[in-house]
Amino acid sequence: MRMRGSVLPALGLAGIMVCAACGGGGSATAGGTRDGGGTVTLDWEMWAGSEDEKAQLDHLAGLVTQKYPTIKVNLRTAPFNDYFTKLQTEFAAGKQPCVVSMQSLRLGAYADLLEPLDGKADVQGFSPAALQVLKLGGKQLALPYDLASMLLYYNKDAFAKAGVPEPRSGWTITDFEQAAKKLSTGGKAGFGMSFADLHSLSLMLSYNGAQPVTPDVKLQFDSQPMVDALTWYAGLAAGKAALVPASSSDVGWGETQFLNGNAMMAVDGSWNIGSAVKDAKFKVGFAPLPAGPGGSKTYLAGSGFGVAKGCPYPDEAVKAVSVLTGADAQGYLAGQGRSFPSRTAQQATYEEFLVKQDPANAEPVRAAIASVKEGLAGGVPLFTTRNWDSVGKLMAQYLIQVYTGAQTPKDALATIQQQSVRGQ
Amino acid sequence: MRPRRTEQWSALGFVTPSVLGLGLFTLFPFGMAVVMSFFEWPMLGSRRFVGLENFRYLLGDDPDFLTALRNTFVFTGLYVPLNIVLALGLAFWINRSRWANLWRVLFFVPAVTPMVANAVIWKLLFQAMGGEPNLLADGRTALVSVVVMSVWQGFGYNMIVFSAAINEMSPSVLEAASIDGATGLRRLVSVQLPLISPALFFAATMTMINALQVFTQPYILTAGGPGNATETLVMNVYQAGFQSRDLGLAAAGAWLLFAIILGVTALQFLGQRRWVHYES
Repeated sequence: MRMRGSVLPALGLAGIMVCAACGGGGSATAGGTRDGGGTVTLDWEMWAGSEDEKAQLDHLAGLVTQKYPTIKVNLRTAPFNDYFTKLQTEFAAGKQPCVVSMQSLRLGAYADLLEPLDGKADVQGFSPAALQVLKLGGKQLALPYDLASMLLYYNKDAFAKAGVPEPRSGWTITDFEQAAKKLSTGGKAGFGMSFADLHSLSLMLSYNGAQPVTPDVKLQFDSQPMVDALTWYAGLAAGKAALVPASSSDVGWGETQFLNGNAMMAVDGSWNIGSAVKDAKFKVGFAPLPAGPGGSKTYLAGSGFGVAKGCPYPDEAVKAVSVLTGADAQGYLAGQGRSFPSRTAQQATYEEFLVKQDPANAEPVRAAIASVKEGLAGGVPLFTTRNWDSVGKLMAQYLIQVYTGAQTPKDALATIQQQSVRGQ
Repeated sequence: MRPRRTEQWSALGFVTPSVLGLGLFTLFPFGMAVVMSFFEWPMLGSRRFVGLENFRYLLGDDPDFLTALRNTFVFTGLYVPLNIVLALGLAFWINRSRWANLWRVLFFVPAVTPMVANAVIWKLLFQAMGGEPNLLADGRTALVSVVVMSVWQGFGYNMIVFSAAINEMSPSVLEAASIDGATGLRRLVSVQLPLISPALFFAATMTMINALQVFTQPYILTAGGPGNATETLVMNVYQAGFQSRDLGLAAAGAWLLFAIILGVTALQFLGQRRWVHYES
């Protein structure tokens, strides 16, 4: 009797496991549906941090139906920090949306899952750089809706007080170093350091052209130019001209210390121009990154919308992406101050939004936009490998050891290279 | 005696919901993790059977796993004794204090506030303390800093457990001990600690299990750095699963961690016969 009592639940368990296994293996067509009337509803996954942002995106979704009455877009959102975790889980489960929002730095991980759009979508009117950052291996994997370059943010008040000439176009690495030293007084530092990819690598790129990833997307952290550039960058800390991040988890260190008034300069992206002007308790100035022998350079990044492979309605999805990144959508987003538009014609609207938002700071904002445009001219897309998340984690863990002097640049870069080469 | 057939059916009815729940949400994932650990199982893309390769990689080639193992043991070795001693000391002190309930609430507050919030506040504290390099950025002090924060966060729970056990100590036994002349340290070691030994055993076991699974504190405070000075086993599993997107490797790491926890807990259960006294 006892035997039988335990056999029954055990059989039940086995049944559950079998059922769950078969349930997981099934492949439901995901991402879109067509109703009896022929209207296609496409899922669109996008990051959004607030109700305002969601409303903006809903407006864009409405534009699609306005142009193509038989296509509806069903928006799903997640906060940016969770977005890519959610997206990869959806792909793993076969529940991916048809329209996928993608950031250029994550492109490496998703390249195999996105339908190339070359020849399918009209790319007229986009800034060439914006298209470039969403290309990998020569294929256009998404259409851009925004574009970003890295800028030097500086504290105008501190420069005036120290009597140091303000940074401007043509400012060199030497000018930058001297200013950083002069501004490091009274417990404040001239520069806020970073180990985040765009923030640290852009300045190293401008210093001597060092690049951690080859054009055919292979890691080369241990190359000699990288060693030289990191040696110089870490030297800013050794010379007491820069603030070292307090721990490996301080990803936004430089720009935070800058806004707090603890560092007088920092590298940050063009997406923060508006908020920096608004939030800082001092006057913020903007300039292109200081120029090395090859001139001022910066990495570019951008975001856009692509079409998932296996989407049951690819033609409709391409149409939807074209409207979501179209001139109307871009004009609307620029007017809302969302970010620097990927379409050349709408970039002026964005500038006007920023100026109107804070008329007293019109001059620095216009300088910022001029710097962004200069950045785009000298800009290079940062191509990322499949395992760029892990690379970012290693940079956080090992670059900080170089900044504190606990490890040599050569050793740290060799460690990063060695540990990340397996998954590239 | 044979239960009647109708009783069997009702028993089955009662047991089915929990068996279903256990099967679906515990045993099935548990079994899946075993299966996955023998596969190269990328989150995106096709999977492939690789036998013990994931385990071999973790124990042989993975540059971080053995360090993470060492860090986890160092963390546990520091955290568990500190936590228990602090909780025990304060519990004894509080029980004699006039404001016992006030202290209990105060010391319990860190245990009920979200760990992430606590860790963020401590990170700000470490930053405000300054120092070059910062305690969290120095490979020699980073792990100890994580231990300090964790003890602050964790001892309140054990303190409440001990405090309750101390209140429950049999007055007749204590009185007999004092008539026999047991005072001070003698009374503590030979009478009071044996009386609360079941609570001590419970606290030590649970704290040890939690310590071996440490993740949130180092994740927020140091992100495993500088270098891999604060990388722990669960962080290694998380990294394999969600950053490298290698679910097979993550499952293998999780299984090794499970085996370690099972082993350590089994040892504690075997050892309890020597020092834990249950009232009969």
